Amino acid sequence: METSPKQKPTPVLRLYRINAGSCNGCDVELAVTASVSRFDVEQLGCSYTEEAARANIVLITGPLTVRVREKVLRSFAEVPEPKVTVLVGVCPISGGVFRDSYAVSAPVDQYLPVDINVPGCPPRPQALLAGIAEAAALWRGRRSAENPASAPIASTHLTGAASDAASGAASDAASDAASDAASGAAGPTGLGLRGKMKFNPNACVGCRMCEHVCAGGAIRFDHLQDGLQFTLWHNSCVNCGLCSHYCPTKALTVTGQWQMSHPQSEKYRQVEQGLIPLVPCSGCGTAMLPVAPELLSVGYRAVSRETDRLRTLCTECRQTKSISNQR
Amino acid sequence: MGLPGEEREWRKLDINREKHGRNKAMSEFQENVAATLNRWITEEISLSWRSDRKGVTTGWCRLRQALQILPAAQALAELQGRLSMVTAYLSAAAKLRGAREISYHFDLDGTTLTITVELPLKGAQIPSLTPIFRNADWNEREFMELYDIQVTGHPDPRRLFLDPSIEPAAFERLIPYSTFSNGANGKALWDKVIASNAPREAP
Repeated sequence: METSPKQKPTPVLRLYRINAGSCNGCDVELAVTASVSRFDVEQLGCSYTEEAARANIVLITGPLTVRVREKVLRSFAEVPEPKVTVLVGVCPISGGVFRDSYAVSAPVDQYLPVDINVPGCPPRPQALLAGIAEAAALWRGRRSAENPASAPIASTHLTGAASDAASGAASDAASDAASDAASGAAGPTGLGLRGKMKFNPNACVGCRMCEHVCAGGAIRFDHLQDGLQFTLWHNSCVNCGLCSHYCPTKALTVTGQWQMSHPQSEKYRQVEQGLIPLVPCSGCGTAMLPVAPELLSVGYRAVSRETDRLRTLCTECRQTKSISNQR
Repeated sequence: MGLPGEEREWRKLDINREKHGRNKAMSEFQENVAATLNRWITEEISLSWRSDRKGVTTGWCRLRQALQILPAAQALAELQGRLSMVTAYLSAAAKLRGAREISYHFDLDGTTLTITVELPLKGAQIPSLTPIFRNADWNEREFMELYDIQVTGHPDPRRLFLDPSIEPAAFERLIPYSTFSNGANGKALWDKVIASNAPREAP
């Protein structure tokens, strides 16, 4: 680069959108970041462009259908380096609900280098802003690394939702409280908007109904030596809430935590995990899944002494004991 | 709360007369459809009519030869009918006979007439109805890519939804769903998730 941006005001970063066969859900949310002042990308020093050749940051929505794949890759190649690539929504990240379809090529990172993922179905505007803020910081970092002569120009004045989003992104808001506070300022999550799922292993009875009803194939169970392990991958979760709806003991609950954008290197670590430890049967000592108190309160109005005695037994022992007690 | 006896009788008569008129018109309509189809196909076709409790009549017809769909469509075009929809499908019962079916649903002034043709499982060919009913275009292009059926005389037989790189007859190869929902892609992703989150990883 011959022209040094020294002494010049912070250059506007141009965002280029590529729709890789999206249902348009994410695109509608992106439209919000161009039309609603509270969520406008201008506060991050960015603006949208229609020209790939002038773009700095690429936003990709959709599961990369086979039909559009070549066109998408061509448009992507037109964006000059250094560029930062952001995948918007679970579709480009993992395929979402379309994963493994014959007509879909997701995940997109099989075809092009990805920097930041913003999961969700679709992600909320705040989450999009957080992801774009991360991308802008990354781009400016790369630019100054490539061109050390120019002073680092990372300081952008953020206002409102964007600063919440950016700070959330910067500090990797992992705790519910931080995200709730940020979203509380940015939008009413108390209205029942769905965020990350939360798992409570103490209440889980291992019925695996959540795995069965999961629209995005985001849940799986593994039998480990010391128990049954639950894993939910946020990058495949579409926040439909079906798992929580069907969970008999409400071991799965919906949180209001929307901040989920993360660097590509963290892609596979975005999980909610829990281990339900096996306990020995009080009769024969066989390892078994414990009966959660939540299950008893679903099944019985009050737990009798008899029930309480049977709950520590494995199925076989329970059968023998309860039949022999009938006389 | 009854009407005076005489008036009640008159009204009954009216209703009966109206019903009779409707029935007469319907049977004339049915005869006309049968006659027109027979004339175009140049043989006696099997056509039956069903009527539900609300008086909605539907017609059902099975052609002896798949090729006869062309004159049948011409007959229905002559009767000012419209093509509503075309459904190609593989039914278990037909498969046992070594056959597949396509149903063409026509609308004749509010009455639905379904014409079904049988095709072999391999090397199925059917003439295009697009020159007669323009809306057959997308229906035919759709079942061409989903099933192993060749449509002859289609004015624009390009792919409709699927990319040209995907082999045709997608519905015949990739079903059952459970096969592709356990696909390699999903497995590869899960392997990475599990590997990245291995419990009790040594610090």
